[in-house]
Amino acid sequence: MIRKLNYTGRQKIPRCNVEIDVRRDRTGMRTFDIRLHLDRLDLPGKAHIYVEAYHRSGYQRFDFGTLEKMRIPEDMRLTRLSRSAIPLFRIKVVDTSDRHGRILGSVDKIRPQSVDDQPADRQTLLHVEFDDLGNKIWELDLEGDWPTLRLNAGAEEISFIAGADYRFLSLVYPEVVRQILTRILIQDDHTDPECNDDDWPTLWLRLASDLPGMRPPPQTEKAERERWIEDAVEAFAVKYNLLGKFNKSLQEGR
Amino acid sequence: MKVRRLTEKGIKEFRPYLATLRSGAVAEPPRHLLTAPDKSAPVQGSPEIEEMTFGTRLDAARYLDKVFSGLKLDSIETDVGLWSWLSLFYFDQVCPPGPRGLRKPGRDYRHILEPGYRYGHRHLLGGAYLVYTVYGWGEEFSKLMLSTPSPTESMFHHELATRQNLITNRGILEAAYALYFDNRAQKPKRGSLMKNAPGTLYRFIDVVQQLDLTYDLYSMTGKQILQLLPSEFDRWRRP
Repeated sequence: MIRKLNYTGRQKIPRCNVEIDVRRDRTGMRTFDIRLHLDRLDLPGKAHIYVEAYHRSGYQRFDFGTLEKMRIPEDMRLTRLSRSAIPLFRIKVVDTSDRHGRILGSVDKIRPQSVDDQPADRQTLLHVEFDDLGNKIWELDLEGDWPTLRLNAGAEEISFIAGADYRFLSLVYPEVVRQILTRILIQDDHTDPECNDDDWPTLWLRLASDLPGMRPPPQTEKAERERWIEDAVEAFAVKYNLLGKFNKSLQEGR
Repeated sequence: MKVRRLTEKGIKEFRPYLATLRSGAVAEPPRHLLTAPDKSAPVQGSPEIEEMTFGTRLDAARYLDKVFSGLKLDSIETDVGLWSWLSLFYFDQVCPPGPRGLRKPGRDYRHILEPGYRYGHRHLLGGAYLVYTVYGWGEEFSKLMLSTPSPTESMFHHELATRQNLITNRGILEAAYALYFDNRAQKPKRGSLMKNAPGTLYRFIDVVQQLDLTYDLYSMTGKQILQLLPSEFDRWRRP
């Protein structure tokens, strides 16, 4: 069990103090709007604010001036990130009075509230991206900052199907749950559903532990954890009545 | 020759070839995939590429940077088909035949790109291009990470490029370069990759990750980061 302790003395900026919308400018380049509510933080006015956007290998940093004199950068285009990427954001408040800038407050893995004017759930457990996947319809990407269901942008009506077609939901999502829990419990050896509210393994473990009939995951041997994962997948299917919805969807399609 | 990208079908044929090599068989690369219409497809902008001999991964990155400069290819670093095609095209470079013609390809992701933090940087050509062009370290710091022969991934590259907060940070790379690169010999200093030894790369990464929790390392120069390091690094500060 790994617990993260904060010995650094820095303040945690509440997530609700940051609102970000990602959109495209006239040239199709991704850019963003941000509303920072940092005035209630008990931090010196001269502390500097930095906003960092990142996605896979892409990283970009923006200087927002100081807490007492916030300055929105003129150019907020995400030129160093892929045009199709939905980045995550990190906010840092830094004491620059010393030559070594000390972090006074921060918050990480902020998901945009909206992307291209479409609302995005702030703390979704699973991001969705559309990309060229060759002949595959979907794949799960667990190598980034947050679990992402990648859908083939070339598959017809895939956005609608993935969001509303119960045949897709009932066939794909249990496998998504299985792969994510396997990654957390078996590969990463992470079993604590209370570890870190800002990180996805904790949130997924909590989701699975709260499913009907489930308890927190065992910290024992691999075979028991694997059984727990299968129980969670079954509980997930029961909770969302996937078999019933699958059958109904087939009948309606006939 | 015009650069192409392997299609899903092309990759499906390339992958078993790598497995065949791993089983100890001697086999020539399936070069027909490079031009077969259903196994590979043209790339936007039709960049031209030539047979080359690269002394190091840095040479490969430098050349590919020229090939793709000026082309507006979005997400080139995650283009699985493109990097797989390039690997096949330069297969004698990234997986040269040894005695009796045996080739040792290693894991698939060294030749067939697997985008993502875990293995994305480990593609022998794509990973070098990432450092040189996408992260933009060019001639500046790439030498530290890409001075190995084309088929070999340096541990400097492996350890730094796998961590986004390190590989994207100029100050950290400046500090690592100052500590571990021997400018006279034009290669990393001897002993800098020893495990369980004071001040080596592995300790550098541990210490920097710890400092990253407290300090805004992105706003620091290499010199400022070096000042934060404890005395165990003193021996490496000498040029």
